[in-house]
Amino acid sequence: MQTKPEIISFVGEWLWLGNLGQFFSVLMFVTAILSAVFYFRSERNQIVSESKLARTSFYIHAFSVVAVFVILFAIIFNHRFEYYYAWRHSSKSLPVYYMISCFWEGQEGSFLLWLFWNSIIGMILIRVSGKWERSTMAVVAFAQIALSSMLVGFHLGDFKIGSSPFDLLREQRPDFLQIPILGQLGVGNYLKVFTDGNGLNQLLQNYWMVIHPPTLFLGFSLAIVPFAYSIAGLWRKEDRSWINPALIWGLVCVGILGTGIIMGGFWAYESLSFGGYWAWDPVENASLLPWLIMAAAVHLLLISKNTGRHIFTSHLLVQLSFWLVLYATFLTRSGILGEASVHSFTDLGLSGQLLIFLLGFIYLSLVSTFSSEKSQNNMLTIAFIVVVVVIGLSYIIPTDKSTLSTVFHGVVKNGGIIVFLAIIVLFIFRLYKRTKTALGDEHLSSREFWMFMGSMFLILSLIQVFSGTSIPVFNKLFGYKTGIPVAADYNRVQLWMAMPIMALMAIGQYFSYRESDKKLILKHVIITFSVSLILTFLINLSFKIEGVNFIIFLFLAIWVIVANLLYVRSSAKSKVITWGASISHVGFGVLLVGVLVSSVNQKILTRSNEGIDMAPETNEKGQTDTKGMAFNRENRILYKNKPITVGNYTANYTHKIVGAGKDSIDKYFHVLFVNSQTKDSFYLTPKTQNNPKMGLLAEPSTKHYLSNDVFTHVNYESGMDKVEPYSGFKTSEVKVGESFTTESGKTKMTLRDIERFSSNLGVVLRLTVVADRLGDTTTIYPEFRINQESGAFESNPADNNELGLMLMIQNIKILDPDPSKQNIEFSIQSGEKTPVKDYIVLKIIQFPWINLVWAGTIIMLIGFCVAVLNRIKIQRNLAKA
Amino acid sequence: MKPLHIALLIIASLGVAAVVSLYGNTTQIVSFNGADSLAKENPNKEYHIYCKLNKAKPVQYDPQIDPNLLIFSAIDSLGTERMVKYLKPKPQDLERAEKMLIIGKSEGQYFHAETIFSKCPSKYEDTPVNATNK
Repeated sequence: MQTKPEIISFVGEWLWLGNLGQFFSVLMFVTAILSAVFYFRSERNQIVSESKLARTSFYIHAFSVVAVFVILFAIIFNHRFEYYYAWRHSSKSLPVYYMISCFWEGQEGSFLLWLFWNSIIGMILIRVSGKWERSTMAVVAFAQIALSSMLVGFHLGDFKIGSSPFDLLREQRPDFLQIPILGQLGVGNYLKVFTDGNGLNQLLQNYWMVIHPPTLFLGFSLAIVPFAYSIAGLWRKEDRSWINPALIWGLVCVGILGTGIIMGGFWAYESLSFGGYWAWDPVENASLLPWLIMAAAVHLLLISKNTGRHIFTSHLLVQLSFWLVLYATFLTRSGILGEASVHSFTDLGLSGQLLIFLLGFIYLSLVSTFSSEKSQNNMLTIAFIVVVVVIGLSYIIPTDKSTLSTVFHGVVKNGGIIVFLAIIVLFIFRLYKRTKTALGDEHLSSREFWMFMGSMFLILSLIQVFSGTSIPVFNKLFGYKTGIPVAADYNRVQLWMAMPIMALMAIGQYFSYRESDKKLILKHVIITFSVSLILTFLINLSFKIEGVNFIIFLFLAIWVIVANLLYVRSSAKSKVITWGASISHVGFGVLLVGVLVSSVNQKILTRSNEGIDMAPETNEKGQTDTKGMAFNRENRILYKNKPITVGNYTANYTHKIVGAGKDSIDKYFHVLFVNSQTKDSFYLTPKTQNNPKMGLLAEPSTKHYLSNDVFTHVNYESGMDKVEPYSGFKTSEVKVGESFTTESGKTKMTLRDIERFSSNLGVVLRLTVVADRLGDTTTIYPEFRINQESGAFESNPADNNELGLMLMIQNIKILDPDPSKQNIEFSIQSGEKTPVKDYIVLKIIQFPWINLVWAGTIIMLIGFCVAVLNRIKIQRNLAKA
Repeated sequence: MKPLHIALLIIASLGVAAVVSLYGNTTQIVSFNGADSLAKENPNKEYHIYCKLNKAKPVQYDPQIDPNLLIFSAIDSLGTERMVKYLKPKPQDLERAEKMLIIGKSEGQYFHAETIFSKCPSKYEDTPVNATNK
């Protein structure tokens, strides 16, 4: 048979690798379905054999996830740029330790990471959950179906399910095969042209970016376990026994998610140039939402476990926390946040799928609240299918001006919102019916009352962050045009919201469950309150915080630390393992002190009122308005070797070093700081990279002291100025020892010396010219090269930007052939321009006590570990009993 | 009423207050002319404007005169042109931004930008920059 001429054979592709990857992608999807179905059936019908099948399916699923992970890594590692993912997110120059970061630059990789963590969690759950295995694993496997579906990459006509990381470059970007050079080489040889990838985002090439995303994702993944236990508890009609395991996993989740969030903050502080660790960026907020609610849920679980109260609220918060994880994923992965975020993600067209995913879990929550009445379940299932079909239709029916389309989309949108809200209300109502307890009133002096209050204040804080972060969603849904809140909008409110939480964190533990001795409580409150008041006063002698609201905040944070330390001391006979709550509360207090001091008392050392208003404005009365002069002058210019005084320091920009490698675009500006009091000195080396794709990327440099950080970053550098061409050319005839000037006469030059040496290209004459421009002097070396055989000559001009001077030898006249006399007359052309100074525009911020933020986080993490160990011990004892 | 219910009511009302205060403080995304007319009612409020750089006019930034002053001309989505004054160094990717969000006040001849977010097309889009025959 003859091959058709239009079939092109592509040279050098490793298609088998992608096919293998695609095979495992499908396998992981299929085994996730099998596992979910078998787990579900075995729980419902109590069949042991099916649970074995389910387990085997899950093992194969987990293996496939790892296989997909490994294959994708192999593609990146071997620079197989025929695969779109590798081409898009990596490049040949990428070091191996950053290759792992390619996984979280792309959506497919992120979902893969999530699948990976869920598989690990699933395997642990299989081992430790005992009788809960089938019910909880059914939920985990259900999540794996949804997540795997994001990666299978089925194409049904125009409709796409998921996006495969093994798609080929030439399929994703057929336009690349049209580039002219392939006309000569032949399209089949396209890999000879596409020899390097697009590269990883520079901002991700940072060691914190290797560990921050996986930690955050692990936190996100862990949220599924308490959710699964809550669903399982409802399903199996078990009142309270789901609570302790849910609590353990919830604590792990809060600890790890919190660590992941703070790591992100540390990354921002170390490598972004906004000058801080938290900017209330929508993506940061999206990760904060699940943390806040999980922290509240953990406290509710504690109450429920110890008193049997608030089981409804426990269920509700645990389930909401997982919904919020999905919502956060939707926010960050659908591209809806688009503008106004330092993070940015492209929309892969998966937002519809993400929505169905979110709705699917809400449906699961809803079903779990119904008892076994079949008719109700069936009705729900039908209703859910209708919703999914309508969403699908809304993607298929185009939005054009036709009446059908307008009516349909109007109905879908408004109807959808109403149905969604109705489902939520129905869920809460059903859940309440199922889980309400008939216990009497709780005592005002009980621990559970105040712990409940504290959790509600956490929810209050959550509501504010949620409303602000969701504005882009509301804009899209209702066609509003509301701007996204700025950091100040959050800070203003959150400052007050944290206060009741802190007060309750301070005194909460002194209350006993059910009822406490009021006199004892009062005694403790008075002691810790007075100690903290005195401490606040003493500490603020050094902090010097002003403003009543900030001082109250400082006092409360110190109260949290003092009260929890004294609580540990008062119960010193108890074992360390029971101190988890106190330790993590102390850590949180330390963190808040750090947050307060480092932000309220941060000092912009480069703030000044210098500068000339180039565009003075006149107000209505005709007076010159100098308002602009007063604020925001936060950067100063540093000329090379011209030190300036900033706060306690003199800062001197001494030199710059261009990064290693011929094509390096990294510049490190060395700035020497000398403390005028202690004479202590250090160099900071803020970096810039004038990235052809992303513009100027500035990486700050920070000196860490125990009590404060000196943070610098370059906002502009002289290399970014537009280069002015030389002009005012003038030719002078000069001999050694003679002087000459430029056309303007501003620069005076003297020819000092001639060097003569031979190279393989001929004889080279190198002149030493000392130039003086209005007092600034420098030496430059123009060269002239003569090929003795051919007689051809070549001039090698020399220039100096800082002097604005260029010299070029145009011709030579040898007056005396004896080389030792050096009697030669040169005609030298000089050119002039405005001198370009070597300078940087620098911002220097002093952050006092920022180390408390990191220290607090570590203490908090230790507290969580202790609490988790304690809960595991309790669970073991329960199992024995 | 039980104390728990009273406390919950208080918290719920605080929640409503927080949300109302947040939305009360957020501003509308407007045009330059919109910002002008709104500024007459509420001169201290900042507005969000989507616009793009007017490349026909020079971007004025000379750090040797003032490192904290940038003046440029911008065109909003309705086509209105306006001079923008920004008392900070020039954002890294101003010239290459295809669209930007500026937040600030309209005062006198200038729009005083407090914050500029620029969105670069090249940042996340694929360009075959490496497609060179080596």
